[in-house]
Amino acid sequence: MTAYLLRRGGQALVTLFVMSVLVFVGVYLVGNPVDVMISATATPAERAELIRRMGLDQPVWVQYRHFLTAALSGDLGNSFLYNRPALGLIFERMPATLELAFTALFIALVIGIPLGVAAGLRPNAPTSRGIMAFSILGFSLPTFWVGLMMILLFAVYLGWVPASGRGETVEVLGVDFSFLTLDGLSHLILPATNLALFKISLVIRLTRAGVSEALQTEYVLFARAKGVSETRVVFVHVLKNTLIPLITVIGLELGSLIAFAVVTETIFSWPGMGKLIIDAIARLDRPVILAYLLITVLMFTLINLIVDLAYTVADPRVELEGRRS
Amino acid sequence: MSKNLLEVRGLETVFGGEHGDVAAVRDVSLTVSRGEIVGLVGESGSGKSVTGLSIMGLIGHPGRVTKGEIMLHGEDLRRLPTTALRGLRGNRIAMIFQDPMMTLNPVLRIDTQMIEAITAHDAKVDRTTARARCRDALGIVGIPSPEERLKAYPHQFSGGMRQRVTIAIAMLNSPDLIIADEPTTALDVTIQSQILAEMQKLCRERGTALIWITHDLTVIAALTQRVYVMYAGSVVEEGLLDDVLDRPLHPYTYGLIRSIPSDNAPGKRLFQIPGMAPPIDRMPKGCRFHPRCPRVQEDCLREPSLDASGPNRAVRCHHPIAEDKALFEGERA
Amino acid sequence: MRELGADTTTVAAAVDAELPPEKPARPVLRVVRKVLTDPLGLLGATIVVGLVVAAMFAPMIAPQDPYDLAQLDILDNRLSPGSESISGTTYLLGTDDQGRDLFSAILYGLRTSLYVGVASAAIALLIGGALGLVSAYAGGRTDSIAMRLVDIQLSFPPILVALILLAILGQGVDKIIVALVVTQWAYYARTIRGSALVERSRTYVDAARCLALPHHIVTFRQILPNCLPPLIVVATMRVAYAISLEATLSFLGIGLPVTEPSLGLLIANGYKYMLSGDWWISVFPGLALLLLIVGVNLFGDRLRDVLNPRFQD
Repeated sequence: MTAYLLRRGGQALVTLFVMSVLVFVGVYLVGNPVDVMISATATPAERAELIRRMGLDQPVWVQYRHFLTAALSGDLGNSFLYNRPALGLIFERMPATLELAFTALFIALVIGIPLGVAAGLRPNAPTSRGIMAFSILGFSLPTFWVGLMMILLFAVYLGWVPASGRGETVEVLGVDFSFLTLDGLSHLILPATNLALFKISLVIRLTRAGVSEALQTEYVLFARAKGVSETRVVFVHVLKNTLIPLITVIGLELGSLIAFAVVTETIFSWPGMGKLIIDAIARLDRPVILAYLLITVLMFTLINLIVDLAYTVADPRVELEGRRS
Repeated sequence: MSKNLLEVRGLETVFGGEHGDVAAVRDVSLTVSRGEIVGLVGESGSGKSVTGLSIMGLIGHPGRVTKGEIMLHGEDLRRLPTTALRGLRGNRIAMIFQDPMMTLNPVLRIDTQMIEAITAHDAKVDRTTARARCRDALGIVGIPSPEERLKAYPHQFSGGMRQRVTIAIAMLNSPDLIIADEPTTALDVTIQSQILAEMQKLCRERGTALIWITHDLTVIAALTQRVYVMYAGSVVEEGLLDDVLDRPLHPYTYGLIRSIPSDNAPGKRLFQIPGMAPPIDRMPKGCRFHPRCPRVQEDCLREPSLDASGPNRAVRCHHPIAEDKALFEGERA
Repeated sequence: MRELGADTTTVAAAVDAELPPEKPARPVLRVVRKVLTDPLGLLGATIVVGLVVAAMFAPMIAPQDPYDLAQLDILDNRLSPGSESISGTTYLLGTDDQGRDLFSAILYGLRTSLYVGVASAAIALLIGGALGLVSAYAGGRTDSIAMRLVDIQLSFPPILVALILLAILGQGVDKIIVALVVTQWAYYARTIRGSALVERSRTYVDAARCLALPHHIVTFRQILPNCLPPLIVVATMRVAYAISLEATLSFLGIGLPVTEPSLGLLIANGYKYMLSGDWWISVFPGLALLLLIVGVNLFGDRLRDVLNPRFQD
């Protein structure tokens, strides 16, 4: 177990390092942030001073070394725009994004799994066909446009929920949460549903495929031959076999939810990391871009690790490679 | 109440396909008395497994039982409501399947899969009692340290051990009848004979009747008292074991016996019945065996019926074998 | 590679038994006919063909050139659908904040969206397809390295990869095509490798090797044609995804520049007026986008069923 964790940790570090080099080199070869930072009327002397102060006159690899040394001590540089530590900015916005992503994941599972089971149990029923048609639609509709339509319908015309912001939040352990207040919840529901749409379709398809596959198996036949009730066959025998492979997918999808939150946050003015990165890209705020990407990669690596571990716990057939050696 | 435990009459099971229904099993009748071990033999696709599943009421979409009676203790299972039928399954009739790798749910522990077979029929039983019964059942089928093995998952057992587990599950509620669908086919020959011997012993001790479905005549010979031979969805011959093996009446049964490798002289080419069993959606007219039959005549295009030719003996053939001589070309070359 | 000294009669017998699947005279026509006989397939095909034709002939169909500033009248800005302009013509779908006829803008936007989607899918198909094919044929180390690369690529969400690349490259049609290619090549590589591996293990490939045919002949003449059906299916679905992703990126303002507005940018332009009730500026380009994507998906879905009846989900 320890060996396994160490090896996975090592892999994660290598990925992080490679990503940091790629992103750093890429980001630092484009444009000139000084143009953004300084007014057009600045004197050449002021310009040179700023370049020197930001360390932009050094060769790229020296800049990277400085960056790496600083990064290892948790300092990813100051945002050019906000003149504050980039990492701090990211961490400040992260809870909002995570809340959005987890809520979306929750919605995707709570809606997707029952619909998928229903469609898998009776593949030819009209309701099942309806569910599958919905899932095709969910796959092909561009999320951002659906988001706009949701605002138009639910916020502008019906006026049921607000169109933007986080609403009232409650602080728990130093982190703000929207879902704990009614107002916050009303702000959360629209963006979270929007973000979840694509994943609902995905969960429906995976669950349906898993259920119809499990129903064909001999262990279901044998369970029926034992006289086990149909309810138990579906909810114990079929569902457990369906949900285990779903864990892997869900983990990977959590990462993609965090990434895709960029779009949803922009549409719904949700104050998360996504909005921050879009602004940073538009304004070439390199430290923020870098910090965002590194943090995202770190999160992805962590999520993958957790998913692997969860999978081993859930599926008795899987044993960690490290445990065997 | 009749002396027969199970009496199947005129069973027909069809499967719906793109071009309408096709019958996988047609006009199958069989009886099993208490404690009797009956063999159901035939090639793959002959309808023997479908017959077993039909008796259990486990034919799923797109198949369905369309005709016939399935009487257990004089009660027609086809007329029973679903819940009542479910109450019988695993309780009065149990079934074991071919591949023990597939019949146990890979993600549930053995105790979960055993205890549910008890609680499904007795909601009041407490967990400790049920667990103790499961442990004893594992011990009876020869699984060492059953208490610990209860907590194991199926993948931690070998194939033979897994099949013992499924047998233990089938025996849990001391059913009157077990339908065993080729349960030893996937196992090594040594393990196969162990399991056969144990099944025989268990059934004798408990007075459990057994329908043993197989394509292997040697297993039938070792285990059963009476035999039904199936071909292309119908029973073509039935009789006591020795009668059928020593004096087969149907040319198909005859060919099947001749196909056993040990029945051939060493060094000679192994015998096989010419041609192949017909697919169920393209059955030949009349006697379904006639395209492969060495005794075929004009009237074989007329459908034969299963006629008794003595006590406990019946054959579905217009020209049953009366004399003992080589029938097929090349058979004793 | 297997032993060449293998029993040639066995190989010959095996080849006899398993020739490459025979092709009817005009397989393409047969497939097209089958797709079109299905109502949904026909609907998808009609939508796609209609939109492609509209996009191609946009300069002729469109009432105005939406990017010729001389033709715009700022006084016509944000007119609702069906309004008359100052000069008396009717704006079928209304105008945007600069007095631009939305119908014309959508036709021109379709052009850009289709171009970017198809071009990126085609390039990704070439690169990914070639890599997958070589990977499957070479096997061993080449294969495992290539597939490791594919796995890494696929473990990052396309939108994130595109964000990184656009952050590095900046805006522009060529740049967004690069970004879309990078996010997509891996899907093609994986698809073609999968089917190529299946084909490679068939006896007709062994036979071709026993005849000592050159590698490229075996790969391109023997294996490739049999891998095409799944590749075509994946390609149609990917085009739809590429169009959607491009629209998303442009909507975020990091995709196409304002000088080359695709549908995504049109939607973004109307977004700020939507809350004040001028819904049409966002909704109509969105509907066009929707129609395009759903059309391609319907067609692709049907195509998948026709090309491989066993292949589901």
